Amino acid sequence: MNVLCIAGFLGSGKTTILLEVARALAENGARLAIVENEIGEVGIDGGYVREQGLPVRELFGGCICCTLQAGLVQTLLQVDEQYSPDWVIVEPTGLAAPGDMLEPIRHSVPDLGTVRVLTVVDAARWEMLLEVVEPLVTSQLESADVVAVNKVDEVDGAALRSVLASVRELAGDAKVLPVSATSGTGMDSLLKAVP
Amino acid sequence: MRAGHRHAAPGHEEHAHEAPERGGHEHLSHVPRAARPALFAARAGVVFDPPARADQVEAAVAGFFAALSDGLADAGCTLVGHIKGTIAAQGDRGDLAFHATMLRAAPALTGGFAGGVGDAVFTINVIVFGVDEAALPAIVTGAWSEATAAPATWRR
Repeated sequence: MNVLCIAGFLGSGKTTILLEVARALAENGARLAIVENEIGEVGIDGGYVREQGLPVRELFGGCICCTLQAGLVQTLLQVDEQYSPDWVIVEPTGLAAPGDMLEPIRHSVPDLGTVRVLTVVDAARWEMLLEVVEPLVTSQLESADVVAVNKVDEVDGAALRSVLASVRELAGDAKVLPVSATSGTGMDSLLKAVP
Repeated sequence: MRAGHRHAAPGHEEHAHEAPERGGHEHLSHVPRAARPALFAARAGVVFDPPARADQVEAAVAGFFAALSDGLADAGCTLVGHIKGTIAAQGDRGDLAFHATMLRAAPALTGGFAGGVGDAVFTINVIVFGVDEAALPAIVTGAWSEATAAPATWRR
Protein backbone atom coordinates (compact mmCIF):
# COMPACT_ATOMS: atom_id res chain seq x y z
CA MET A 1 0.00 0.00 0.00
CA ASN A 2 1.27 3.41 -0.99
CA VAL A 3 0.12 6.65 0.61
CA LEU A 4 -0.33 10.03 -1.01
CA CYS A 5 -1.09 12.91 1.33
CA ILE A 6 -2.73 15.91 -0.33
CA ALA A 7 -2.12 18.78 2.08
CA GLY A 8 -2.61 22.54 1.87
CA PHE A 9 -4.40 25.38 3.56
CA LEU A 10 -8.18 25.58 3.81
CA GLY A 11 -9.83 26.41 0.52
CA SER A 12 -6.74 25.81 -1.59
CA GLY A 13 -8.44 23.23 -3.80
CA LYS A 14 -7.25 19.98 -2.21
CA THR A 15 -10.47 18.06 -2.81
CA THR A 16 -10.71 19.10 -6.46
CA ILE A 17 -7.14 18.02 -7.09
CA LEU A 18 -7.67 14.82 -5.10
CA LEU A 19 -10.47 13.83 -7.43
CA GLU A 20 -8.32 14.48 -10.50
CA VAL A 21 -5.42 12.47 -9.09
CA ALA A 22 -7.79 9.68 -8.10
CA ARG A 23 -9.33 9.62 -11.55
CA ALA A 24 -5.90 9.40 -13.19
CA LEU A 25 -4.77 6.60 -10.87
CA ALA A 26 -7.97 4.67 -11.42
CA GLU A 27 -7.61 4.98 -15.19
CA ASN A 28 -4.21 3.34 -14.81
CA GLY A 29 -5.81 0.43 -13.01
CA ALA A 30 -4.87 1.32 -9.44
CA ARG A 31 -7.13 0.28 -6.56
CA LEU A 32 -7.83 3.33 -4.44
CA ALA A 33 -9.12 4.31 -1.05
CA ILE A 34 -9.58 7.82 0.30
CA VAL A 35 -9.19 9.09 3.86
CA GLU A 36 -10.84 12.45 4.54
CA ASN A 37 -10.13 14.40 7.72
CA GLU A 38 -12.18 17.42 8.74
CA ILE A 39 -11.55 19.44 11.82
CA GLY A 40 -15.21 20.05 12.51
CA GLU A 41 -17.45 17.32 13.78
CA VAL A 42 -19.63 17.61 10.71
CA GLY A 43 -18.02 16.51 7.46
CA ILE A 44 -18.73 17.77 3.97
CA ASP A 45 -15.89 16.72 1.67
CA GLY A 46 -16.24 13.02 2.45
CA GLY A 47 -19.78 12.92 1.14
CA TYR A 48 -18.78 14.73 -2.02
CA VAL A 49 -15.86 12.39 -2.70
CA ARG A 50 -18.05 9.37 -1.98
CA GLU A 51 -20.53 10.63 -4.57
CA GLN A 52 -17.78 10.15 -7.15
CA GLY A 53 -17.82 6.42 -6.41
CA LEU A 54 -14.66 6.26 -4.32
CA PRO A 55 -14.36 4.33 -1.04
CA VAL A 56 -14.01 6.91 1.70
CA ARG A 57 -13.15 6.80 5.39
CA GLU A 58 -13.74 9.96 7.37
CA LEU A 59 -12.05 11.23 10.52
CA PHE A 60 -13.87 14.10 12.18
CA GLY A 61 -13.39 16.43 15.07
CA GLY A 62 -9.64 16.86 15.11
CA CYS A 63 -6.50 16.89 13.05
CA ILE A 64 -4.75 13.73 11.92
CA CYS A 65 -1.37 15.35 12.31
CA CYS A 66 -1.90 15.78 16.06
CA THR A 67 -5.03 14.73 18.01
CA LEU A 68 -6.14 12.05 15.56
CA GLN A 69 -2.73 10.57 14.69
CA ALA A 70 -3.66 7.23 16.23
CA GLY A 71 -6.98 7.30 14.42
CA LEU A 72 -5.21 7.81 11.12
CA VAL A 73 -2.92 4.84 11.64
CA GLN A 74 -5.84 2.67 12.70
CA THR A 75 -7.83 3.79 9.68
CA LEU A 76 -4.98 3.03 7.30
CA LEU A 77 -4.64 -0.45 8.75
CA GLN A 78 -8.39 -1.05 8.37
CA VAL A 79 -8.41 0.30 4.82
CA ASP A 80 -5.47 -1.92 3.89
CA GLU A 81 -7.23 -4.97 5.29
CA GLN A 82 -10.59 -4.19 3.72
CA TYR A 83 -9.67 -2.89 0.27
CA SER A 84 -6.02 -3.87 -0.28
CA PRO A 85 -5.57 -0.63 -2.18
CA ASP A 86 -2.55 0.20 -4.29
CA TRP A 87 -2.85 3.80 -3.15
CA VAL A 88 -4.53 5.49 -0.23
CA ILE A 89 -5.02 9.20 -0.74
CA VAL A 90 -5.18 11.08 2.56
CA GLU A 91 -6.66 14.57 2.66
CA PRO A 92 -5.89 16.13 6.04
CA THR A 93 -7.55 19.28 7.31
CA GLY A 94 -6.32 22.55 5.90
CA LEU A 95 -4.70 23.23 9.25
CA ALA A 96 -2.53 20.12 9.27
CA ALA A 97 1.24 20.06 9.14
CA PRO A 98 1.68 16.96 6.97
CA GLY A 99 5.21 16.31 8.19
CA ASP A 100 3.82 15.50 11.63
CA MET A 101 1.78 12.57 10.34
CA LEU A 102 4.48 10.93 8.24
CA GLU A 103 6.49 9.39 11.06
CA PRO A 104 3.55 7.62 12.72
CA ILE A 105 2.52 6.22 9.35
CA ARG A 106 5.99 4.99 8.51
CA HIS A 107 6.46 3.42 11.93
CA SER A 108 3.06 1.83 12.38
CA VAL A 109 1.85 0.68 8.97
CA PRO A 110 3.54 -2.59 7.91
CA ASP A 111 4.55 -3.28 4.33
CA LEU A 112 4.24 0.36 3.47
CA GLY A 113 5.38 1.35 0.01
CA THR A 114 5.84 4.90 -1.17
CA VAL A 115 4.70 7.84 0.95
CA ARG A 116 4.38 11.09 -0.96
CA VAL A 117 3.16 14.56 -0.02
CA LEU A 118 1.47 16.88 -2.50
CA THR A 119 0.87 20.32 -1.04
CA VAL A 120 -1.67 22.59 -2.70
CA VAL A 121 -1.15 26.36 -2.53
CA ASP A 122 -3.83 28.96 -3.23
CA ALA A 123 -2.12 31.42 -5.57
CA ALA A 124 -4.94 33.94 -5.24
CA ARG A 125 -4.60 34.21 -1.45
CA TRP A 126 -0.92 33.46 -0.96
CA GLU A 127 0.10 36.95 0.17
CA MET A 128 -2.84 37.12 2.57
CA LEU A 129 -2.00 33.72 4.02
CA LEU A 130 1.59 34.72 4.59
CA GLU A 131 0.35 37.73 6.55
CA VAL A 132 -1.97 35.79 8.87
CA VAL A 133 -0.78 32.16 9.03
CA GLU A 134 2.77 32.12 7.70
CA PRO A 135 4.14 29.45 10.09
CA LEU A 136 1.35 27.09 9.16
CA VAL A 137 1.56 27.45 5.38
CA THR A 138 5.34 27.28 5.59
CA SER A 139 5.13 24.01 7.53
CA GLN A 140 2.82 22.63 4.85
CA LEU A 141 5.50 23.25 2.23
CA GLU A 142 8.43 21.88 4.20
CA SER A 143 7.50 18.23 3.83
CA ALA A 144 6.16 18.42 0.27
CA ASP A 145 7.50 16.32 -2.56
CA VAL A 146 5.39 18.23 -5.06
CA VAL A 147 3.69 21.62 -4.69
CA ALA A 148 0.71 22.52 -6.86
CA VAL A 149 0.30 26.29 -7.01
CA ASN A 150 -3.42 26.26 -7.75
CA LYS A 151 -5.86 28.90 -9.07
CA VAL A 152 -3.28 30.39 -11.42
CA ASP A 153 -6.15 31.56 -13.59
CA GLU A 154 -7.21 33.92 -10.79
CA VAL A 155 -3.99 35.97 -10.69
CA ASP A 156 -2.13 38.03 -13.29
CA GLY A 157 1.29 37.14 -14.62
CA ALA A 158 3.29 39.36 -12.27
CA ALA A 159 1.43 38.10 -9.22
CA LEU A 160 1.92 34.50 -10.30
CA ARG A 161 5.66 34.98 -10.76
CA SER A 162 5.84 36.48 -7.28
CA VAL A 163 3.90 33.59 -5.74
CA LEU A 164 5.98 30.98 -7.54
CA ALA A 165 9.22 32.62 -6.39
CA SER A 166 7.96 32.77 -2.82
CA VAL A 167 6.79 29.16 -2.83
CA ARG A 168 10.01 27.88 -4.43
CA GLU A 169 12.00 29.65 -1.74
CA LEU A 170 10.02 27.88 1.00
CA ALA A 171 9.54 24.49 -0.63
CA GLY A 172 13.12 23.29 -0.73
CA ASP A 173 13.67 20.53 -3.26
CA ALA A 174 10.00 19.99 -4.00
CA LYS A 175 8.81 20.24 -7.57
CA VAL A 176 6.63 23.36 -7.88
CA LEU A 177 3.98 23.32 -10.58
CA PRO A 178 1.48 26.06 -11.49
CA VAL A 179 -2.00 24.64 -12.09
CA SER A 180 -5.67 25.43 -12.26
CA ALA A 181 -7.65 22.43 -11.13
CA THR A 182 -10.89 23.90 -12.41
CA SER A 183 -9.71 24.91 -15.90
CA GLY A 184 -7.23 22.05 -16.25
CA THR A 185 -4.20 24.28 -16.81
CA GLY A 186 -1.03 22.43 -15.83
CA MET A 187 -2.91 19.37 -14.60
CA ASP A 188 -1.25 16.98 -17.05
CA SER A 189 2.15 17.92 -15.66
CA LEU A 190 0.90 17.58 -12.10
CA LEU A 191 -0.60 14.16 -12.72
CA LYS A 192 2.72 12.99 -14.16
CA ALA A 193 4.57 14.32 -11.12
CA VAL A 194 2.37 12.61 -8.54
CA PRO A 195 2.32 10.02 -7.20
CA MET B 1 -24.94 18.87 -11.65
CA ARG B 2 -24.77 16.63 -8.64
CA ALA B 3 -28.48 16.02 -8.19
CA GLY B 4 -29.27 12.36 -8.30
CA HIS B 5 -25.65 11.30 -7.84
CA ARG B 6 -25.66 10.51 -4.17
CA HIS B 7 -24.92 6.84 -4.63
CA ALA B 8 -21.64 5.13 -3.92
CA ALA B 9 -20.17 2.30 -5.86
CA PRO B 10 -21.28 -1.11 -4.60
CA GLY B 11 -19.25 -2.15 -1.63
CA HIS B 12 -17.86 1.32 -1.25
CA GLU B 13 -20.32 2.72 1.24
CA GLU B 14 -18.25 1.89 4.29
CA HIS B 15 -17.00 4.78 6.32
CA ALA B 16 -15.99 5.44 9.87
CA HIS B 17 -16.76 8.45 11.98
CA GLU B 18 -14.35 9.47 14.65
CA ALA B 19 -15.87 12.10 16.90
CA PRO B 20 -13.79 12.51 20.02
CA GLU B 21 -15.41 14.10 23.03
CA ARG B 22 -13.06 17.01 22.85
CA GLY B 23 -13.63 18.93 19.71
CA GLY B 24 -11.31 20.72 17.62
CA HIS B 25 -8.74 23.23 17.08
CA GLU B 26 -7.86 24.11 20.67
CA HIS B 27 -5.84 20.92 20.52
CA LEU B 28 -3.95 21.95 17.38
CA SER B 29 -0.67 22.21 19.18
CA HIS B 30 1.24 22.58 15.93
CA VAL B 31 -0.64 25.77 15.04
CA PRO B 32 0.73 28.94 16.70
CA ARG B 33 -1.83 30.24 19.17
CA ALA B 34 -2.09 33.58 17.37
CA ALA B 35 -2.97 31.76 14.17
CA ARG B 36 -5.63 29.42 15.59
CA PRO B 37 -8.99 29.83 13.95
CA ALA B 38 -12.55 29.92 15.18
CA LEU B 39 -14.64 26.97 14.07
CA PHE B 40 -18.33 26.31 13.74
CA ALA B 41 -19.65 23.11 12.20
CA ALA B 42 -23.27 22.05 12.48
CA ARG B 43 -26.30 20.60 10.80
CA ALA B 44 -29.80 22.02 10.82
CA GLY B 45 -33.12 20.77 9.64
CA VAL B 46 -34.64 23.56 7.54
CA VAL B 47 -38.11 23.91 6.12
CA PHE B 48 -38.99 25.88 3.01
CA ASP B 49 -42.74 26.53 3.22
CA PRO B 50 -44.00 26.70 0.57
CA PRO B 51 -41.46 24.46 -1.15
CA ALA B 52 -38.74 26.47 -2.88
CA ARG B 53 -37.54 26.24 -6.45
CA ALA B 54 -33.83 25.66 -7.03
CA ASP B 55 -33.25 29.34 -7.84
CA GLN B 56 -34.99 30.32 -4.61
CA VAL B 57 -32.71 28.01 -2.61
CA GLU B 58 -29.72 29.54 -4.37
CA ALA B 59 -31.03 33.00 -3.47
CA ALA B 60 -31.39 31.90 0.14
CA VAL B 61 -27.77 30.73 0.18
CA ALA B 62 -26.61 33.99 -1.40
CA GLY B 63 -28.57 35.99 1.17
CA PHE B 64 -27.23 33.88 4.00
CA PHE B 65 -23.68 34.30 2.77
CA ALA B 66 -24.08 38.08 2.47
CA ALA B 67 -25.46 38.32 6.00
CA LEU B 68 -22.76 36.01 7.29
CA SER B 69 -20.07 38.10 5.60
CA ASP B 70 -21.39 41.22 7.29
CA GLY B 71 -21.49 39.50 10.66
CA LEU B 72 -17.99 38.10 10.34
CA ALA B 73 -16.56 41.41 9.13
CA ASP B 74 -18.19 43.20 12.07
CA ALA B 75 -16.68 40.59 14.40
CA GLY B 76 -13.15 41.31 13.18
CA CYS B 77 -12.57 38.48 10.70
CA THR B 78 -9.07 38.77 9.26
CA LEU B 79 -9.07 35.68 7.07
CA VAL B 80 -11.57 33.11 5.89
CA GLY B 81 -10.26 29.57 6.07
CA HIS B 82 -13.36 28.34 4.38
CA ILE B 83 -17.10 28.67 4.52
CA LYS B 84 -18.69 25.64 2.97
CA GLY B 85 -21.86 23.71 3.23
CA THR B 86 -24.68 21.87 1.57
CA ILE B 87 -28.45 21.97 1.45
CA ALA B 88 -29.73 18.47 0.83
CA ALA B 89 -33.39 17.97 0.00
CA GLN B 90 -35.14 15.20 1.88
CA GLY B 91 -35.87 12.10 -0.13
CA ASP B 92 -32.68 12.02 -2.17
CA ARG B 93 -33.98 14.81 -4.42
CA GLY B 94 -30.68 16.53 -4.89
CA ASP B 95 -28.46 18.94 -3.07
CA LEU B 96 -26.76 22.29 -3.46
CA ALA B 97 -23.18 22.72 -2.26
CA PHE B 98 -21.58 26.11 -1.68
CA HIS B 99 -18.06 27.16 -0.90
CA ALA B 100 -16.25 30.44 -0.34
CA THR B 101 -12.87 31.61 0.87
CA MET B 102 -13.48 35.37 0.78
CA LEU B 103 -16.07 37.50 2.52
CA ARG B 104 -18.59 39.18 0.23
CA ALA B 105 -17.48 37.23 -2.82
CA ALA B 106 -20.21 35.15 -4.38
CA PRO B 107 -19.91 31.57 -3.12
CA ALA B 108 -19.23 28.85 -5.68
CA LEU B 109 -22.35 26.72 -6.12
CA THR B 110 -22.61 23.17 -7.43
CA GLY B 111 -25.48 20.75 -7.60
CA GLY B 112 -29.20 21.11 -8.03
CA PHE B 113 -32.59 19.72 -7.17
CA ALA B 114 -35.20 17.55 -8.79
CA GLY B 115 -38.36 19.55 -8.08
CA GLY B 116 -39.23 21.81 -5.18
CA VAL B 117 -37.41 21.78 -1.87
CA GLY B 118 -39.48 21.55 1.31
CA ASP B 119 -37.74 19.77 4.17
CA ALA B 120 -33.97 19.83 3.85
CA VAL B 121 -30.79 19.34 5.82
CA PHE B 122 -28.46 22.30 5.96
CA THR B 123 -24.81 21.48 6.75
CA ILE B 124 -22.37 24.29 7.43
CA ASN B 125 -18.67 24.38 8.21
CA VAL B 126 -17.08 27.75 8.97
CA ILE B 127 -13.40 28.27 9.80
CA VAL B 128 -12.33 31.88 10.18
CA PHE B 129 -9.51 33.81 11.79
CA GLY B 130 -9.73 36.89 14.00
CA VAL B 131 -13.18 36.07 15.37
CA ASP B 132 -14.00 35.07 18.95
CA GLU B 133 -15.13 31.47 18.69
CA ALA B 134 -17.73 31.96 21.39
CA ALA B 135 -19.46 34.50 19.17
CA LEU B 136 -19.37 32.40 16.01
CA PRO B 137 -22.45 30.17 16.49
CA ALA B 138 -24.71 33.17 16.96
CA ILE B 139 -23.21 34.90 13.93
CA VAL B 140 -23.86 31.88 11.72
CA THR B 141 -27.31 30.96 12.98
CA GLY B 142 -28.29 34.61 13.10
CA ALA B 143 -27.26 35.11 9.48
CA TRP B 144 -29.47 32.19 8.41
CA SER B 145 -32.44 33.56 10.36
CA GLU B 146 -31.89 37.07 9.07
CA ALA B 147 -31.46 36.17 5.42
CA THR B 148 -33.96 33.37 4.87
CA ALA B 149 -37.56 32.61 5.66
CA ALA B 150 -36.76 28.95 6.27
CA PRO B 151 -36.86 28.06 9.98
CA ALA B 152 -33.85 26.05 11.10
CA THR B 153 -33.47 23.52 13.89
CA TRP B 154 -29.77 23.46 14.69
CA ARG B 155 -27.89 20.39 15.83
CA ARG B 156 -24.21 20.43 16.70
